[in-house]
Amino acid sequence: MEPGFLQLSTPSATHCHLHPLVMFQVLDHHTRRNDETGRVVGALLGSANADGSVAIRNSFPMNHDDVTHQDFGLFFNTMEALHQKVNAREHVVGWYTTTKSTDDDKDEVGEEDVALHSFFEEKVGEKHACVLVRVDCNIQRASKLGVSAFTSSNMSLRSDKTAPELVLGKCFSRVTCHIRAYEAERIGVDFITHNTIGQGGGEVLGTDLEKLESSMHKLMMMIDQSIQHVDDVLDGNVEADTKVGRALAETIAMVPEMSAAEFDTSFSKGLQDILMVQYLAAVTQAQISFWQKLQSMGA
Amino acid sequence: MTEPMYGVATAGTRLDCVQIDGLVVLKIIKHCRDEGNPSVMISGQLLGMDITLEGTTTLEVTSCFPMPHSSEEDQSGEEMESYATEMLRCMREVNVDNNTVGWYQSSYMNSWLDPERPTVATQFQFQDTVPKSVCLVYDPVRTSTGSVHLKAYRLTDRFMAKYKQHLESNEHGFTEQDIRPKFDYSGKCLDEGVTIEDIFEEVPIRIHNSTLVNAMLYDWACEGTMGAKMHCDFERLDLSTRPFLEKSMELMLDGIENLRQDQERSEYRKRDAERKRKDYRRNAREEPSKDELMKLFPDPSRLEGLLIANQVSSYCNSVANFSGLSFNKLYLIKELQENPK
Repeated sequence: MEPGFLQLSTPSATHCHLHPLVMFQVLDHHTRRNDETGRVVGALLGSANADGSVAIRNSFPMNHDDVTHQDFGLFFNTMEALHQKVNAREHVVGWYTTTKSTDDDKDEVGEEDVALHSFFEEKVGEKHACVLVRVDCNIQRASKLGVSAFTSSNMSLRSDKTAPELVLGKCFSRVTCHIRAYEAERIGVDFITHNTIGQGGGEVLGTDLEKLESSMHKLMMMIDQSIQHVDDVLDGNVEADTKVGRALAETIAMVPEMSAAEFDTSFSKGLQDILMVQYLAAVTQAQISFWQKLQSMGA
Repeated sequence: MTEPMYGVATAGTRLDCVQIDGLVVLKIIKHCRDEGNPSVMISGQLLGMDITLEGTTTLEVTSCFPMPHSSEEDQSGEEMESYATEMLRCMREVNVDNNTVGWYQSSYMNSWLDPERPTVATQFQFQDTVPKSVCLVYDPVRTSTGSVHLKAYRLTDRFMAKYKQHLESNEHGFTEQDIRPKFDYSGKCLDEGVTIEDIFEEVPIRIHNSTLVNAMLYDWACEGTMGAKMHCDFERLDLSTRPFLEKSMELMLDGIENLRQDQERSEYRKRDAERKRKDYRRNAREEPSKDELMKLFPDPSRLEGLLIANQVSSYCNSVANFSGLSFNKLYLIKELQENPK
């Protein structure tokens, strides 16, 4: 036999952005798993960007972790159709799985995952690679939740350039995976973090004034930290970093320079605006009360 | 310690707290953001279970799903229904709680109270079939200023009873007679009537996560995964007041105008009904009883007026809240300006 060459097609996805919601969904699904299966599988939804990165914004759970189960395909189609109705811009970009508690510490794709991957690969289509995200939920053993992402590429053998390729199998390669959130989502995660873990966790939500106070405390803390840093640099304890220096200079430049008189006018203007609208609101409130009284007195 | 009881709440029990899963908060935020335009209303259903433990009843909201947009009015009803049933079936297969416990909707500048929105009708339907259901209201615009604005509301029992009458009497409830408090001759209150404060009640909210999610959050908090911005909620310190004040004023003026128009309309209708009653009595062969007359030509319903008044009143309240907070901020900055450290 002629010596052929081994061909490995390069994966088209370079890295992926995972949104926090997906992590919440995966973990929630994992806590609801059936005892006998021990792990869960689901589909990832999102879109592929032009630069080869894949944004994973949403997901839905699957009812089985076995692709050969008769309901598997049907359930997938139903769920996909339901999600398409709400947001037609999101498509299937891959799938997720969690680890069983009996799994070893291995950090690679298992044999049973190959069939599943082929199933989802078909659903994703040719446009971009199918991403597999694996979440390691064995927090008793590991020190942190491990999230790893993989894409697969075909490994094939060709005897020469024109000969048809002989697919030998799939080669899974790891891609980088970052958690990324948009503004509202970041605020959402921040809000959840503050209200569930650490101090005051699980308490009924506080008032606006308390929130304002906590923001002020944080601001003070950050200013103190910056002053500390500048002092350290001046004393020569810490080496100066131009990046940090520039950022600090920019921040200081943003503080408007105004005279006391200027400040006074803008302060009283702001105050008057608020007072006027507050007064108007009180008048309106009074009008409503009158209206209500008139209703209940009758003509 | 007594055992917690699940799903035992009835129409009579008080709901003390709503416990929402972090997942639900994020899903609502995402649904709203996908829509893009904050003035378009989005809605979805909440899934969960109520729990009674030592006399306090908590409603646990553990999951939710978005409802698709109803673009074509004529065919939406049936399609929505089949969408929801199908979704619930799928949720059950993956072991998610599949009891509907209410719904969520987006709101922009208190627009959820707009009488043109189906808020009252929908919430009535939910509360009528599932007594413990709530309506979660999420404001994406106020959230973008730094803290998630999410509130849970329910219709009060008193309003529920009146609204039931209203529907049963072919939308002729909420007449002036109905919303007026009634007393017997000794001055004892027979019927407290309805005021705008009696329409909705707010239920306190608590956020909850599974242990796994908490572990992940700790991880993220330690590593700063969400970026350095994780610990900054300085949007709250924003000093600009003008956009909010202008918008509120506009809405208050509109609201008062609507209220005036509604008042005129209902006065006209009332006179009309009175005239018709008089005519009928004159032409009738035998003297009709007063009840009979009222049934044939009822007074106009004041529900619309009540809802408008409630909306305007909510604008006033949010202005009061906002200005209070802005005063604090203004004096804070004044103090900083005069006594720099």
